[in-house]
Amino acid sequence: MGMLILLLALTFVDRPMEFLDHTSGLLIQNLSLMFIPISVGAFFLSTDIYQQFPAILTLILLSTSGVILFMALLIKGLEKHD
Amino acid sequence: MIELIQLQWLQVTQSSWLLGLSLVGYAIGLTVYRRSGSRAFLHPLLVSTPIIAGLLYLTNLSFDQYYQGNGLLSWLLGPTTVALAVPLSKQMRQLPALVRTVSLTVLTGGFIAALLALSLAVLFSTSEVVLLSIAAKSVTTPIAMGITDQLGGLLTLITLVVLLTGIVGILVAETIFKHTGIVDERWQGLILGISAHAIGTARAFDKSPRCGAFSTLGMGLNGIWTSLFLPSLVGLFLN
Repeated sequence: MGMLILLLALTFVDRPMEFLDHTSGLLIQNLSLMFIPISVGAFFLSTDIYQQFPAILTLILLSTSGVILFMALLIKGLEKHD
Repeated sequence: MIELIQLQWLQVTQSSWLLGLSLVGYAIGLTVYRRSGSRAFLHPLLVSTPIIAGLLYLTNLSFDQYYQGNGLLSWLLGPTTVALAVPLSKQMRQLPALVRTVSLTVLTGGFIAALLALSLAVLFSTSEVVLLSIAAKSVTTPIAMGITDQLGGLLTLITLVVLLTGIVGILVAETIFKHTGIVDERWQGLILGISAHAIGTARAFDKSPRCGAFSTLGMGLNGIWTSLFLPSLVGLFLN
């Protein structure tokens, strides 16, 4: 919601203010840093979840690769159609 | 509203020296990543998290202590998500000409991501709680947590699944782009945002601000779209 409000506000200005440009750039460049605390939790899950881990990992690998391939082929198809 | 601000303030004030552990881990991860020439398998998250987890095991600190001590970083995720509007706004003028490709890719890509995950969960006979916790795997963490909570899945599991999806996404995307001939950074960004959410977006910003802006667009639109259709789709797999 916050992103949408800022996006709407920025559509009414030609260029974002310099401080906004600088601060947002700094935050976005270090986006991965904000994910570190929650990601460390992956090493502290219950045994029950770890037992299903090979299936979960295979599922993630196949479905993520599958959808990326699908979208890449779709975009190539649309480009050819144009 | 006041209660929400109080909760956020509490989250920030609970930060402790353990924040330093994340910063040092990140600095190591970032150095390794940059020196490797930005290779996806040496992404800062993949390098820093095992180091931090190892140190927590060695020092007998629990994950809860560590997580509470990093309240400031968890809180910063909110303002950073809002900040994504800035690069996105710079690309908005291009959007009307690309609306067909963007909308078709988001609508079908978001749906197929969830459909494939649920079908494979059934195929691998995972437990119902795992099925409910993987459905929102391609959506950015804050939205995925909201959807999973609504579905009755495990929040601890969806955060791991979202993280792994992002990492797998950035690892396989380059090979797929190469083999399918996707060279336009706008489309690379869009695909990364839809399939690998914020981790894909961070990777896309490493390529260029334009790639990052399209990734932000894909991530945002897919989050909204998935939250609309997913509860009904999951219902079909439970019956």
